[in-house]
Amino acid sequence: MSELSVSKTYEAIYSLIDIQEIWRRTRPKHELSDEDKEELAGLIAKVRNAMDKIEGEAL
Amino acid sequence: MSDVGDRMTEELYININPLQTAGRTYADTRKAVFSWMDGYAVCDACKGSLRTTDKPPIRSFLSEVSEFLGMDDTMLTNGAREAKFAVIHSICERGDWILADGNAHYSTMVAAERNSIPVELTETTGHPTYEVTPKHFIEKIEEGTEKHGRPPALAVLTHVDGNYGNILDVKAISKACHLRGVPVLLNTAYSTGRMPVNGKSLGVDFMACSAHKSWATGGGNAGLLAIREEHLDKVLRYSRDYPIKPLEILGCSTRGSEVVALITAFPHIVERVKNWDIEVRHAQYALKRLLDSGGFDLLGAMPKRHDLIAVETPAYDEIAKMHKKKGYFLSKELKSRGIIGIKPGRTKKFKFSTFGLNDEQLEYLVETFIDIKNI
Repeated sequence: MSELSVSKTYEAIYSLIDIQEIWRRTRPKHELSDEDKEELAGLIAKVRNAMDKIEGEAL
Repeated sequence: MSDVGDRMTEELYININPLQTAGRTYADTRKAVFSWMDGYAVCDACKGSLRTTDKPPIRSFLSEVSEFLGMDDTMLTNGAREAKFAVIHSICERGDWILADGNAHYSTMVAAERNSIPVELTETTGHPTYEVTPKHFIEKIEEGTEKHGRPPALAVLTHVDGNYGNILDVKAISKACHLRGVPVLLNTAYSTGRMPVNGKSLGVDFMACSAHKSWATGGGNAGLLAIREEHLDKVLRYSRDYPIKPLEILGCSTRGSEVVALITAFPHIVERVKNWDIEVRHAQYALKRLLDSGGFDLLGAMPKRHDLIAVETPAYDEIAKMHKKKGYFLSKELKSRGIIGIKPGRTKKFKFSTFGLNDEQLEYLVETFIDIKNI
């Protein structure tokens, strides 16, 4: 296996940590602003993309 | 998997525990810890000593930290208490004694005890301000010198104490100590990493820092011992048989992901101390709102100059007498509203910290405290 799946695993986890940061920033009510929602959507897309790459290469 | 559970505290709640508010990590740091968490991972490119490691850039980091703190050299330690122990161990000899302020942390006392060095504590102004003044230090130096037959070998100053958030007049106290030939170790567990602190300006000889308390460092315990040049030969001395290994940290101290956490937190620290005035304004605002609402009294000095706020709370204590949950009503009520960090069972007095809260969170916290008085 190439480094791709490993690096995409890190990329996905780092994006999830960025999502975790949104929950931390907006605690305790988690009322997301439009900017927060836009950032969250981008991060979810990055996680999905990384998962797709791993699936495509490793499975 | 062992069932240690998921903490989720910092995501779900406003945490106001003063011990934890400035140790909350940044996303960069959590990513770095994830990547470097395996045992001895920071030793991949070891050159024989942690402090000379370039990958990750520990050597250059220590140099930058020395400059940031206004000191000449810095060692990594496992915490502020280990830094204090190292200084006492290096400086003091049998028969010596140490002077410390009346608000000193217990770890100062046990660091001295482990070195078999007695400690004399200054008086404080007592309830409700608990301040320690330069005069208190001078009086205790004179009294202790008469008692022990020699001046103190070291003065350990708690820059900001952990009970009241009082800030010592370090410059004046250091001057008074130096005039009497006493070197000064500043315990900055609640100051460096939160607020601007410059060792040279304050005139201190050593600084002990707590990275997991005030430098947003996770992944383990980490501290710093910053030293003025004239003391380097005593404190930063190396092993006779292993000449690259500093003795006081038994060769290498924080040899895990915590040092990477500290390195990645550092750029955030450099930036956040520039906003210390905002943190102080937040603390003053919260305190004013509580005092104005009635049923709260400040413990500690006015004006408030630190995010750690201690209050007596007769309003809550009255409720506790009648409430079915007794003294536990307050922490339970706060938790139900998304706030944690008050010790369960406490209603007579408690301490909390506003560090790192944004305006909205601060307002919510204050409103919640006030609202709970009316349940």
